[in-house]
Amino acid sequence: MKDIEGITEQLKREIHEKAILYISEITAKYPGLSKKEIDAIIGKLEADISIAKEGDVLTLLTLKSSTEQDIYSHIIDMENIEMHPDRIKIGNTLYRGFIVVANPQKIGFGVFHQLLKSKNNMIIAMHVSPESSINIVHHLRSELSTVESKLNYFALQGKIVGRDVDELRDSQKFQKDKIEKFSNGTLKVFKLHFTFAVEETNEDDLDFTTNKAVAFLKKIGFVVKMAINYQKDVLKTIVPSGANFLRRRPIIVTNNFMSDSFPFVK
Amino acid sequence: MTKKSEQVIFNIKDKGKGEIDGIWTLTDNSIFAVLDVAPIPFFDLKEEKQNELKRKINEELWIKLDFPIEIVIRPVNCAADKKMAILETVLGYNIEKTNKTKLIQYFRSFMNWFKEYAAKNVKEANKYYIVVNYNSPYDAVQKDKNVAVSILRSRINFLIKSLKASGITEIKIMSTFDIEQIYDSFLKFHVYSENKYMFPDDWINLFKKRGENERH
Repeated sequence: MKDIEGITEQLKREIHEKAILYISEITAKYPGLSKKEIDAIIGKLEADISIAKEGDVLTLLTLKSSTEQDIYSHIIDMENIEMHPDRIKIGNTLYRGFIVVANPQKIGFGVFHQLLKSKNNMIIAMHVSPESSINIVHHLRSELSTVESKLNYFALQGKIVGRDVDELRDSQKFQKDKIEKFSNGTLKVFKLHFTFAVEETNEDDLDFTTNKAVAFLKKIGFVVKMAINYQKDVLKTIVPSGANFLRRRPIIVTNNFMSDSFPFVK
Repeated sequence: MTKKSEQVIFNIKDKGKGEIDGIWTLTDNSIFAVLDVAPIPFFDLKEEKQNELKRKINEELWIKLDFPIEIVIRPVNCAADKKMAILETVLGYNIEKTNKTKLIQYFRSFMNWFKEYAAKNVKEANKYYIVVNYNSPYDAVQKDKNVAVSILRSRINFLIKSLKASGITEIKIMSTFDIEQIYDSFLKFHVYSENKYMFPDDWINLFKKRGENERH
């Protein structure tokens, strides 16, 4: 009785080493095998997922084999790009981008975490540009000077109490406080641009996710609309490159807003 | 999708290699680098710790930041099950049509393995990237490019230092290969597992490796 299993394993190892084995080599190596036994061995070798029989040759399926190349070619077919006014289809993934029309005044800590957790398949890009404090202080000083001129005018008129004077004094205090904070570096202003896009696998889900995402964004103070005819620019903006192809009016925020909206929350 | 067409879609002029690996140039001559930032379990922290974290981020990052950055938050593996079903249906249909027994058998076996692999390794998560850029047209003047690269590097160092001081310690500077993977992930069928984007050739290599491991 021949050790069919043992011979098969030995041949399997050989195919994995040499990547190819002629069937005629089996009879040469094991001369005493009958045709039935050889067929049984070939059957066992063929049952191995990594070995294919092509004519009188047994080959190892490698990265370059026709089987895998076939699978690759089918996958690559799935990666065509289609541009539409309201979406981009890449293979089987659909992207829809939004333009921010109105920004919120305040964002709570971890709001982005909630946004992502709410399964809206939302990609968020935030472009953050710090503004020079010198320009802001200059602007505030000019406003302070206007307020102080008005106060002086009222003083010359002998008006040192009253609602107008109180409002001006409050404003004076407010401006002085801001100037001090900007000057000593405890307050900073940023220009902030948000870009949003949703990702889905089919049109119906894309519409559903769009509605869900838009409703959630509205809840936190963002009014957005579909970036009709600007989908490619949205895609370029949400891909990490630092570039912003959708320069809309920015939201002006302070460092406190930035700390509160800090997004790196698990 | 060829690498060339990706470059055209995203206005990429040069993908930094060698000494400037991980520093890419756009067609407007601005250069950029990408940091992969691991998020922190903020909501598991006590209120005191949360407030401390906010204070540190404010003091160490926002107050000191004096150049523009981009933060990209990207969910990964969202709808992975649906994508998997598409892969099986569309690809399976095309492969069945070929009537090649071995190919069909190979694909079925691959799909079974892939589903099992995905159930264990493919989880929904959010990826956080910070993009640091420097916008200075240097054209052909190599000296200016070196200056631009050194400014960009100092910005990267500042960000890493500030984030670490804020309590965000897991930060990785992405290599050119890593950035290519991010870009490919917007264009190609993929899953995110084992801390990287994985594409068809990665899956098939893993599948084969598994087969080899089993044989040994």
